[in-house]
Amino acid sequence: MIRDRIAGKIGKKMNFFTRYDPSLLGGVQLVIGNTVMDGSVKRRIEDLRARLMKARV
Amino acid sequence: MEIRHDEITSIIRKELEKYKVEMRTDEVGTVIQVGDAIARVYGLDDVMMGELVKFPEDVMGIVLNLEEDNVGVAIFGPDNPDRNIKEGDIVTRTGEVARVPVGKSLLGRVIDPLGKPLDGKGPIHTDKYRPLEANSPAILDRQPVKESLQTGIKAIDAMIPIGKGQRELIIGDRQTGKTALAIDAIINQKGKNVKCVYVAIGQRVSNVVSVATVLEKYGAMEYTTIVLASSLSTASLQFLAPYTGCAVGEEFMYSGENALIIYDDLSKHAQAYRQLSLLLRRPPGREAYPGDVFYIHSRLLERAAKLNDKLGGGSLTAIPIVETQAGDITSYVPTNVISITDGQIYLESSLFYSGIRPAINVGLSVSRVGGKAQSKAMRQVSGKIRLDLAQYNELLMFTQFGAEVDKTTQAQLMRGERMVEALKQDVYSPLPMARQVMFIYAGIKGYLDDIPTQTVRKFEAKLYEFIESHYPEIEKEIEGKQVLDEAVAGSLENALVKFKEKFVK
Repeated sequence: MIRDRIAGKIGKKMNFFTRYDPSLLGGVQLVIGNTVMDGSVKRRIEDLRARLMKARV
Repeated sequence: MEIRHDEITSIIRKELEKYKVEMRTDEVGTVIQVGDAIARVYGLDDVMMGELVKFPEDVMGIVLNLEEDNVGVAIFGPDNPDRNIKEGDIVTRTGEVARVPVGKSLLGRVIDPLGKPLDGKGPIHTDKYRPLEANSPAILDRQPVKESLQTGIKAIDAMIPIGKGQRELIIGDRQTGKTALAIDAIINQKGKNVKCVYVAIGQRVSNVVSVATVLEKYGAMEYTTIVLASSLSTASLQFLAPYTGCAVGEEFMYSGENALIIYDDLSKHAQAYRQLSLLLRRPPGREAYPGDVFYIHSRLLERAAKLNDKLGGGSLTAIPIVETQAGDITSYVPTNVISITDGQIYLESSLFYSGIRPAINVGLSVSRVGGKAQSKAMRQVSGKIRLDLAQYNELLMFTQFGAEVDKTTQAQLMRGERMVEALKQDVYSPLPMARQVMFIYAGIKGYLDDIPTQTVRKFEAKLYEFIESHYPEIEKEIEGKQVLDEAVAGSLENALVKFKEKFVK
């Protein structure tokens, strides 16, 4: 299902190579050429960390 | 400070509530080669020149080379920042060009070229940022330099005046007092509402610490920011330091204030850039510098300006420092910077060692802005010293052949000798304009001619004391009116006669 939606969105025919990477902790990371679409849990945690570090007290 | 847990929890909770899960797209590349704090990266297709990129473990770099199939990136950080980066690592675009925090909260701080505090006084709180690289103000945005920037050094204020918005180069060999001159200029801005920035490029940390200590001691740190890229930093940081300082100074200029920036020194800056360029495999040119050394300095110094009144009338005065090798001002970087700036102050080691300090070579030093950058009072008295000194130096060479001299020549020699003595000044003791005017007036009117040369400096010290205790109004008048009109000149003359009687006794 994910494959169909992505292919539809980009509008090109593509081959998918999937790999399981435990360091992402969860979610999906999509690499198309030099672009990375990151929906992994690891990324979310990192974003949150950056945000909390910047928070004004 | 007491830590209140409930408060912190509530802040964290609030931030967590604001956080929204979203997919982000990153543009990435992979490292194909790394070494000497330079990485070549494949990918990063749409990256901008000068954009910051992120390596693993939060190491940052700046894009300096855009080539057809790869990108050259200089990596930031202290000693060997590239030690953990290897081939195949992922590099991510940040979409931002390098920028620094600016504004009032930077005063009194020591920062690195990326705007991070180095002084251990906690984080810098400001919401204003400026890009390191910015366009210089257009001609129509400027107005002519017309106000004087007092350095507090007699020889400079009298003969090589610097105006607000001017660029004046300090050039000379090592150990000739270049930095001391610049520090004096900063100290003298106390209470004059001029914000200062001191940029240290490739200097030893101990030198910069002592500069900071001196500034602290004279109460000058409260209006000064120090930007430090020491000799331990990578070439990339040393290269960025002056642009960081300039961005900090520009903020004051664009908010209608006056700022003074010292670049200490631009020869090291050019060397750092040479190192970067050679590592990026750009073709070397004269003295192995790349073709655009002129451009790196011109785009920096052109950002100093006096803005027009519509833009607030602020100013940024730049004092770059360049170190020469054995007095050679015709090598590449010195000639470049001389041609960019509006004048130079040339310091000579032979003068320095013969006891003339500040060791300013009056013949080779100029200010292309001239009298407009002086107060009227100073202009009235200073016209004659330059001439006196030029004549003296000419005669000095002549008399070295043992030629007989007539009476007028003798008088000129006497005068010159005393003027040279009179222009000597200790470090870290800048003088207010009125005092300089009074003393130089005494010199050109011949009050020093018949006292022994060795006592000239004692005369100076005692004169200030005498005027302060007996005729304080003279100093106030000159300072207030900025003119030496006949009434003031009369009472000054009168005071000088009385003082001289007392001094000779």
